[in-house]
Amino acid sequence: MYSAVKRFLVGRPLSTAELEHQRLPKTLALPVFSSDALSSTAYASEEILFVTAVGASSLALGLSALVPIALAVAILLAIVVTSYRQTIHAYPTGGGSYVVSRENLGRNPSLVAGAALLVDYTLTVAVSVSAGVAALVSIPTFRHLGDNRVGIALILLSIIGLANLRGVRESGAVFAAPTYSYVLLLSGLVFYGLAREFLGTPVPDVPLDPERFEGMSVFGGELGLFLILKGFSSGAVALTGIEAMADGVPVFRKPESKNAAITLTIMAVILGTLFFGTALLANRLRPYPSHEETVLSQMADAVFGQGALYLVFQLATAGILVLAANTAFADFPRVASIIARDGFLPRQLANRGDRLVFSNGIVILGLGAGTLITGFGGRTNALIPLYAVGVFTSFTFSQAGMVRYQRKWRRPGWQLRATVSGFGAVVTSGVLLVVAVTKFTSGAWVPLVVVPSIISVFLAIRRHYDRVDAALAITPEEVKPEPLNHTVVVLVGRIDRRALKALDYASSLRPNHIMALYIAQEEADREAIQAQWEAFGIAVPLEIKGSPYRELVEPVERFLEEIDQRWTNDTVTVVIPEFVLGKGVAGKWLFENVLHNQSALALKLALLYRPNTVVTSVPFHVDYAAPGGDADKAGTMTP
Amino acid sequence: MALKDKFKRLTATPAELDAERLREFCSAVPNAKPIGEVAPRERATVVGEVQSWRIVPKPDGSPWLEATVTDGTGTVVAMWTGRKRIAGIHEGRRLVLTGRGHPSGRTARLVILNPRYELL
Repeated sequence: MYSAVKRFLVGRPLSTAELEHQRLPKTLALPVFSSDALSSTAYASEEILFVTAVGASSLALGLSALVPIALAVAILLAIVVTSYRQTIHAYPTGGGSYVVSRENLGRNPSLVAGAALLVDYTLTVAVSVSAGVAALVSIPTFRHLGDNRVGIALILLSIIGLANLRGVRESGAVFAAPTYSYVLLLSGLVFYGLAREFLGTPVPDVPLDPERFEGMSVFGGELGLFLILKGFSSGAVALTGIEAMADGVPVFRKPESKNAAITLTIMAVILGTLFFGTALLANRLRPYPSHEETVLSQMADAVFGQGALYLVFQLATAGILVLAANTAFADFPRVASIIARDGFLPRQLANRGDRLVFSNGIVILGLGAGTLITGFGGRTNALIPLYAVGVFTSFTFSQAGMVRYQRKWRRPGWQLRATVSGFGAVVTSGVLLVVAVTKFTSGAWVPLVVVPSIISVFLAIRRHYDRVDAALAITPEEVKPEPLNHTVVVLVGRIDRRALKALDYASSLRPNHIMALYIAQEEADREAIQAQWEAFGIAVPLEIKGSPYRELVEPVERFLEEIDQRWTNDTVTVVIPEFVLGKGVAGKWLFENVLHNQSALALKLALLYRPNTVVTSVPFHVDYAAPGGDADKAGTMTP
Repeated sequence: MALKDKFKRLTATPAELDAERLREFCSAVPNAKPIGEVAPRERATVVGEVQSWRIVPKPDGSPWLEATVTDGTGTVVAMWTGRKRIAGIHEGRRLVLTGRGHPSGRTARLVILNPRYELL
């Protein structure tokens, strides 16, 4: 039943040989990996305004600061992308910041980068899904749904999670359309809007609704350097997608590095142009930050009017934001799997599921992002301050690692490349400082606390694995031949086919000692079993033990202790006869299983942690629906 | 009773409480030696409770009956050859055994062959 539901939702299992076909051509890789970066155009301007146009500042001041900030972000983008193209070429097997730091900087820096990345990918999902919902509820028809944004966000999140459990290739195909339509429509909005502003009849300004405007004043006020830098920090979240591309190189078709580098450049050009263009247009149209309607929606309304085009644009915006979450879904599990393979995360995260994706990582990311969305009420601008600390940490480590890399290999032209990476590292570390300082009180402290705790978890997991390995390791010199003293104890409740089968099985093991154990609760039971034992002529000694407190588990444990004292170097196998209801029975009466084996289960749990103890279940198939077989033989019997 | 002892009584498992009661009972029986102090091959009289008992069937028709007896200081196994059943010997029964204990198995566990017994 479970497998049928899973098959329906996730699809049939894929064999390992099918992995190669999961590779992406550039046209699909672009939407898969760049949607994160491109989608930030949907909220970045707004988030900058949420910082620069509220409080002591005014809308006019905030709008005037928007264009220089966007320009700065675009320049930062160019620097980081130039630097990252080298990383992609140097690490065709996936040059995420974690790998680059591990190879070039050592263990601890790589753990910082890895933890920071995991946090940021989780935030990418939370921010993007929240922003996507914001785009949806900005549509006037859906505005009343604004109160349910958390619920809508969680539904979207589960849809994305499921798509990813199906596999990269298919989710790429499903998600290509919204990305391309968003890019097309936003370009249309920006270029048509700007063309009208500068060449034709200007678009009328967005009418200011003082009720919905989050700021204090429209004109005047003051805007300090701190707020401008804080606004810049909010804009810098646009760079998160770059890391995703570098991480995902192996998913590209061959030649991976070349294709990935080209795709990265295409993405950077589109992102830079649209980001800057949006800011420029916002500067002219004077939208205002509001919780009810996004800035982009206000602008689209002003340029396109309330028509089909506006509706499609909003849907495409929501679509690409959902895709941005998808990027993180493609990369969080991959980074987690690399970290897990190094022994810093549970090994289960390193395994591909039956659809060839890292299923466990996908599930964990979904849960983490769901928690964030719920915790922050699905509001993008509450999540943004937490964002970008992680990604700039990993940028800095990655590029610093690349400087080391270039110095180590000294391939032709390494000096220039090292300079580019070094410059990038200096710039991103500066940005990191700015982000951490300006947004510290409004939320950046969260990753500064969470990342170190994740690192300590990494180290604890690794320490555990190391200890277990050390405990299991053995050299040929350490092997000493010591005969095992094997005792088999068959638990008997009454004499029936099931018990006899278990006794036969136990004898076939040919142990050093064999005995049947009967836990007597009442005098009559004891006499009955003894009489039966004799009547059946069973050759196995029957040990009868009292249970003064009418328990099963406790006397068995005490008996095993007595056996331990009797023989040295012993291993005890406890044989438990069990019912298995045959298919004909179990299918019709699922609940009948509950009627059996409950004490066997309790016993197994109790003996699980007992050293040198093996618990064996000997199944007896009962199938009273079908004639013959075990069906009519079940139950007690006569000699 | 000191508070410490009271607390001990509350936290002790039933098995520990049983063992304590048994020790008290057995030490009150005159002439009996604590099982833990019986030396191998020494003829001794001990008192204790049957923990478990077993019938060891033999195909040739000469079974024996074994009872594991403890007084809280140690354990002896009483073995009666040729007997399948002795009325009154069953789990939880207290009895006095007299006989010579022989070590058996790898760890020194005393086995008294055909001891004289007295049910209590």
